[in-house]
Amino acid sequence: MWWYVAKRLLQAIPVFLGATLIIFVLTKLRPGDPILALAGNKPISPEVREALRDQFHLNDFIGIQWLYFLKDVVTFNPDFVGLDGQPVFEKISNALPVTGTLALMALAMDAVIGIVVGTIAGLRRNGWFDSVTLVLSLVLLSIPIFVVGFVLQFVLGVKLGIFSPTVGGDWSVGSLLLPAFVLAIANIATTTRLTRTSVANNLTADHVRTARAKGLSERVVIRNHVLRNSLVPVVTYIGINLGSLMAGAIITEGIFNVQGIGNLAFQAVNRGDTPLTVSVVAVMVMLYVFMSLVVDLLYAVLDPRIRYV
Amino acid sequence: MSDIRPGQERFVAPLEETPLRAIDAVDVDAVPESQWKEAWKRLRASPLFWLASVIILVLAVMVAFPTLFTSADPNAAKLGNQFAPASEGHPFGYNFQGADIWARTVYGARASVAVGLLATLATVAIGVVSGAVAGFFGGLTDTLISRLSDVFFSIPLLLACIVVISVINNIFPSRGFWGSVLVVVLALAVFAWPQITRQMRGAVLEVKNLEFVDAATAIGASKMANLRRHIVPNALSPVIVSATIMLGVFIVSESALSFLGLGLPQNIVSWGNDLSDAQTLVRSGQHLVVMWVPATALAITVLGFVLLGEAVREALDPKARK
Repeated sequence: MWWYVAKRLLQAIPVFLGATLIIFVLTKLRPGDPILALAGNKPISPEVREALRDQFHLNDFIGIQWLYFLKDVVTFNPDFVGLDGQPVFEKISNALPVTGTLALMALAMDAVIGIVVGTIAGLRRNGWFDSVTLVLSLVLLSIPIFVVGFVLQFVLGVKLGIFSPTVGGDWSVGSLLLPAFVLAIANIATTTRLTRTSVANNLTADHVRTARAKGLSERVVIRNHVLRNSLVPVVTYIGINLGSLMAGAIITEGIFNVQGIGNLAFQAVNRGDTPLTVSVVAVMVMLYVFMSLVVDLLYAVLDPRIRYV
Repeated sequence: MSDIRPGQERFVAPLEETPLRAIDAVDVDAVPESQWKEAWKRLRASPLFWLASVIILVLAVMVAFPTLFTSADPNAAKLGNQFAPASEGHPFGYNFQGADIWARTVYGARASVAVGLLATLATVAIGVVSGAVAGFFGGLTDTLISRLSDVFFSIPLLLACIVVISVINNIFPSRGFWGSVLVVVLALAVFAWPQITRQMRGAVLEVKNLEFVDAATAIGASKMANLRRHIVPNALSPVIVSATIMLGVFIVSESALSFLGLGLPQNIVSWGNDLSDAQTLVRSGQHLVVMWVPATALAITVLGFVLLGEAVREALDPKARK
């Protein structure tokens, strides 16, 4: 298995390089003088300008600039600064905990609600519970996340005061409950549908019939033979989405004023801050690569037929 | 019947439900129907499909002939009318700028549908071609396309769109209706194609080893003809389902981008822009109708495409049905 992990990590290198290169070149296409933005659009002497251009390697060919960026990222250079002169790694490590917690909470809600509801719907296929879940999940998929966010914020946070309506810089797990749920909604709908289909398909599978024929109790059949097999595609979906959850956090963080990665990315893009933008993307890409590896390894736990070579 | 568990009911088919004719008589002269014809037959029988069709049809008429639904001008704004209540011909009243809410919603359909439709077409075109080529030719071509799709897939779609649109906004600040639509379409398509590519590649890998492909090769079909006429049409069904649902997702994405101020420019009437404008009002809980009308229109539209996707999925994959 370790050989497999090593192989996967090696395969991740070109993905990482390609993704950072694409975003790097894209942000560099943006017109306007980054030095002027750094100086706050005030006039600046030619000497200082030259020194700054040198510091940010702006005089080099774009490919060389990218290599400089890679060097800073790979060596975790603490002096690696964004266009506002503040260290990039410090900013990211300040913003990562809150977004990470938010995304993991959303992931947990997605997994628990999605799998439980989906399993019940799948076991009682075409019953009333199944029909209600189907309609509800399709409706939830169709409403934009920020509309749901604002409505829940207003009703649960402001009117009823059950949850804290905004998070702010001083966050706690309790204040993240509502944002995490809003973030999770679209995924819950899909996870439920996926689990339901998977459970329903597995119920008629041969190995389930065999388990029943052996005289196993219904509980054991459902838990060990139906659920375990049904969860393989569901785990993929839930795991792979950690990255997109963090990107979706751009909107949720905006609504609930969370000072996380999404906010950081949005500000960086709007300012044209290449080092910070590309670093945030790099974090997301690494997260995606890591999660897809975790998911693939989980396969082996869920499905003993899968072996890694 | 009550103690029969799910999955057991198929052990023995009840005799009264199995007419003898069905076992004994095989209609030898029956012309085998094509996969698409069969799917269409099942689709016609699905109530889901008809519900989705009605929604999409109404939407299409709204896009083509907005004057049938409203006589007001979506761009006419009189501050004297700010938050004016509903009146004759203005069923939902006026928004902050004093423009007719219903008229803006009716005319806004055009931008949202244009983004969704064009982005889906572009994504599917790139995805089907690259996926089919990768699956069919294999080897180095496959490796190149697969690795490239890994790269684009690893960047979250929303984040990538924000970067692309923000950069283009700075290069071409004003670019009219179609220019603005194309930018959003481009951003979505460039980073969404790997999903279709992977699906198509998988389907082609499955189909290309089936007997009818060998048969076509045996009667002298060239590689390209085989790919175009036999493999791709038989590998398309998962892509069609994804594409239908994707259309809805793209419409939601456009509104999310507009919410962030990066979708269509403010001067274009679109649901995303109207929802984005409404956010400050919603925060203070006033004049919620400004948000409800475009939000409902958007949700019903997306629901229409999601339902269509579900209906098509069931029609194309009869195994998944009851």
